[in-house]
Amino acid sequence: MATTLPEGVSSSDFDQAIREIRKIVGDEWVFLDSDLNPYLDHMSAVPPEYRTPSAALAPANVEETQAILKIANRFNLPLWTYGNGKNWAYGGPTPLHAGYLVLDLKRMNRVLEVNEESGYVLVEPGVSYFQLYQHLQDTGSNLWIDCAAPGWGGVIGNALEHGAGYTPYADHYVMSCGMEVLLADGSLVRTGMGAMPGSKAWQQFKYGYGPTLDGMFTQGNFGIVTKMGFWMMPKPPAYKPFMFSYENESDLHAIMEILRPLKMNMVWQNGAVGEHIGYSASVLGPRSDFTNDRAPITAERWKEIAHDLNLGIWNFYGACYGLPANVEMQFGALKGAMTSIPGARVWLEGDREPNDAGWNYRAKLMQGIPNMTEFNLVNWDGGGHLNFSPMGPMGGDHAVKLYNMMKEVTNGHGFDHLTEIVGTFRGFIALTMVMFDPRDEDAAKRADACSVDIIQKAAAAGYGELKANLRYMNTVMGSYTGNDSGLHKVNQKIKDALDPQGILSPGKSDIWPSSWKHSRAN
Amino acid sequence: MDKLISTIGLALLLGSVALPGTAEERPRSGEESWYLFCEGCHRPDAEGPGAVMLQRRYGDERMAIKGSTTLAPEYITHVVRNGLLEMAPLRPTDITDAELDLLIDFLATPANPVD
Repeated sequence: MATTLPEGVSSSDFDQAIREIRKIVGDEWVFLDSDLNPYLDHMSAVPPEYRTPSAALAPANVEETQAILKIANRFNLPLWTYGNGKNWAYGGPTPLHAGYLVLDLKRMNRVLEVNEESGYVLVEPGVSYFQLYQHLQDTGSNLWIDCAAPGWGGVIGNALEHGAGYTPYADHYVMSCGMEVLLADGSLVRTGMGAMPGSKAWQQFKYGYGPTLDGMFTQGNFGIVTKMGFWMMPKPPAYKPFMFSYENESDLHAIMEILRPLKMNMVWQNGAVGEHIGYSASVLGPRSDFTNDRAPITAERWKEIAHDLNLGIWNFYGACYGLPANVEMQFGALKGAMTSIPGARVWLEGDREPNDAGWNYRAKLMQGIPNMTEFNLVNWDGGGHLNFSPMGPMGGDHAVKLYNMMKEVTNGHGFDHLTEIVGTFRGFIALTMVMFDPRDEDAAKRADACSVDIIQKAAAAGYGELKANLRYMNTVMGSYTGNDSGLHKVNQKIKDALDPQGILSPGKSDIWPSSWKHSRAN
Repeated sequence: MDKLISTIGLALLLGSVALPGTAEERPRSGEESWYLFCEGCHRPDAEGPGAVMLQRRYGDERMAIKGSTTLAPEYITHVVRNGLLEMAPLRPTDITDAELDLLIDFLATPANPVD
């Protein structure tokens, strides 16, 4: 494979920079040419080669990363940084633009501290959920982790992308406490209490003194997070997973009205994960198990599928946690409210078939046992997978409006609507997947157009995306244009102040330094 | 379900487990790589999406890759580095070439009954 150079960097400068970086990290941790195959993304609507990096560099520690930053500043090398490098459905391990260098921090994968007394861990960017879980098991810890559905995901990366899990500690950024961050000029910053020499409470109190900076190092490109603390939930004495299923698509309005006070008052303690039957089915088998018709699956067919799988059209998963008596009391309140809808059914441990993968993996996720079962949904229609998460306020009117919109848009582009409504404490996410065969050029084009449509139609109705595949970062940021694009402008000012050359992940979340002269296309 | 229910008291018995700031020992064993990168999708039952697809395409006898006698080392290497359909590739920072060799040896050993 011919090397695709970063825009504006000469071949001789690039070669010189690579020679110097080899001396820092060692020859075996610099990857070029065909070694870059695993750095491509095969799930998106553009061909993998569209984003071929020029090189991948894997430093072992902060000092090596600082040395690489010096060289990057000297030669104007754009470094696309990540820790664990999964992020599938959002761009995977590939950079925004062909020619960027990947700064792959996967080797920095130490669990630096597990504190049982205060219930936290301090980890490096390469630590995955599987790794952290195994570490806690091996050390006899009493702490649970809270993991994303794919267990090979990164603890820090997911939190920096505002990702979520399934226990009451599901909001990973909220449950983080303390960061160490490298800036583009190589200087090192610890946030919160960590800024104080000899601080005793870096992972116990988030704020320290002065402006709280942690948030600006998430979902952006102002720094490289090299350490991060996370609060971990102590294993509760009792855990009771449950599922409520509902017969009719139109039940969604009533479900969300009932759910709103339950979530707001924390009676329903973890995320209320409401799978439409399409989502449930996609975890259990490929599309060909359910239809031979290329047209989107109809409401009538979904009814039959729900019947065959012994599920509802809506299937809401959750769990109670705490002392045994509290758990039973709390579940009683939930059951009373959630079954007031005609046709509602309650499912508890032991009620489903022993080999029901859908129930089994959710019961694991809601107690922080990592697994990969949900990844089966990637098998739905050939491996192409794009995710969208428009966010609305909790309640029936908004949920129905957004669900119907997602259905119309995906069906309109020829795709099944595979949606999961996740209730948080004040809002809900209408997680919508576009599944397609990336080898089918027409399907990939439709998936691309469908993605833009999802973002723009939801935004026009007031529902913003909270995450974006590389391809749609500018489309999403293009919907946050209030106050004369005030947010976009302040992001650029910060970028200009901290990284004027655009060394760190240029274009991430559509943030560029004002001096950027190269392509801004996604 | 009993296993899931513990007592609060245990937390009080355990102190802080602080590890020395040294890098992880590499290469990792084949078994360790299997747990970190393979087992999630290739556990040979309905909860392993990779196993489920292999079963659909090639039948029960080729559902499990652990203990398989039909997978050539070169083929495993190719799939790990390039991905295959729904399977995403693994980077050399996930698993080095030396670790991949150890993993291939591990895959060739028969699965024990609890796998």
